[in-house]
Amino acid sequence: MDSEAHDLFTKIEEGLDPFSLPPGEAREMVLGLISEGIILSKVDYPRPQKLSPKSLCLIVSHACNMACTYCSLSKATVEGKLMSPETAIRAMKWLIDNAPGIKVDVDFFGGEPTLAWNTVKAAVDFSKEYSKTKNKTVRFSMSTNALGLTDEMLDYCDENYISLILSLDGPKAENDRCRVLKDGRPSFDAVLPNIMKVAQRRQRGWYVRGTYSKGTINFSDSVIALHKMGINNLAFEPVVSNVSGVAFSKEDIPVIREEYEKLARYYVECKKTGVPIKFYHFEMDLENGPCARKSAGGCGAGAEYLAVSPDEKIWPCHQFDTEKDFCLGTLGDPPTQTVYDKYTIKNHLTGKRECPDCWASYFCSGGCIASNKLQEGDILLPYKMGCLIQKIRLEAALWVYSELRE
Amino acid sequence: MLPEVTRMRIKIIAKKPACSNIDDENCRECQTPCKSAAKTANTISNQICEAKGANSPWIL
Repeated sequence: MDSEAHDLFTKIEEGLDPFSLPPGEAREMVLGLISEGIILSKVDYPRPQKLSPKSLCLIVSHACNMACTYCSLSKATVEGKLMSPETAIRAMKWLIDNAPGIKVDVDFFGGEPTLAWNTVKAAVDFSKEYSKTKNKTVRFSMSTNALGLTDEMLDYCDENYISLILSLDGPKAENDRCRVLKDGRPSFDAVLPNIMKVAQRRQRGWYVRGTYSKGTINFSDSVIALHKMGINNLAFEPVVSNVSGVAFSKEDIPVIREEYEKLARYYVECKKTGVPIKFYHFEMDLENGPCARKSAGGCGAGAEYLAVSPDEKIWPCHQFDTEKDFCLGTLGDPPTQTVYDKYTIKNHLTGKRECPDCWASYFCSGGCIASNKLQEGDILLPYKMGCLIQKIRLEAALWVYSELRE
Repeated sequence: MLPEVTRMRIKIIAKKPACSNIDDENCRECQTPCKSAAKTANTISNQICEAKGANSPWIL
């Protein structure tokens, strides 16, 4: 794109009516892009009208065998409750009975879900059989710190196609900054062998999920270091926190931008030279991306994604666990259409203030409502720092997309 | 740093809305976005239509 075209697109971004352009090459080009739907295109984003559960987060354990300093469930883990197998089965029955589609998903979460392994197995064994009677398919995942992941558990996960999301924040120094055992000792050496076992035995159905914070802001080095250790499936997220020394401030934004750009360059180089790597945030498809319904539905919390805690309460998502004002019901008194109409229908791109005019809105769908609540005090008010980081990451992902396309 | 022109270009491209060819209320082949990123605070990682690979037993 030459500077003349750049200036022209800048003016269009700022509101210039492209149809007011004088006849000529520029006008032809712009109108051509509009007719192809590449710029300034519009689409209706249908809003689901019914409560339609499709995915459950089963918080099978409020207990944890680690004590990460940024843990969002720290209040809940004090209680240390485990979900009973009977509760997990009731939750799965409710999901399978009420899901309008033929496919449902469940993620086992905590705390640390391996501490409630019997509950996980009970839910899986029940769901496999019960779903057949309803002509539905259930897919499973488990988010674990891998500390207590035994060979027996891994065998069971393989047999039942349970995808694994393994928490690790980087190489030893970076990981151990926040991810510590209950007695305060670092966790890296204890969890890495189990994570590498998964990396070596699985082609798919797993990835390492890291969190970066102010103290580990040079996260591209962490991602690259893990990749060079043989961990090819990766996702790294910015921490959402108000804790000083952990939380980001606006001054961190230029560094974060450099980090994503550095990682994008590394990623493209790997892809172009045939080195396997999957960084989830760079996986995009602008030609055949998600449907309009999905794009506008955002995270789905409270609408098609719900969380169930060990005390049988139902929440919009796992991050609202223990936020009493957001409890949608219980397994004995599940959320109704009335609850949906009153509250959860808001979780939609069109309901989020400040989002409709943002260039990134089709991609982030208004972000995470739990982060919005935590940082801005309102589920519909976008978390500002999250927005800034999201746009940076999106730009890097789009750059990767354009480079690999060419 | 990415050149400013590239930044501009990708912003323009980003205005293209997602594919609506499979905008079918009954499709529901995809995961909920938050799940695919597994507890992510954002949804960018779910920018791929999953209907094509829907027969896989794996979520990820």
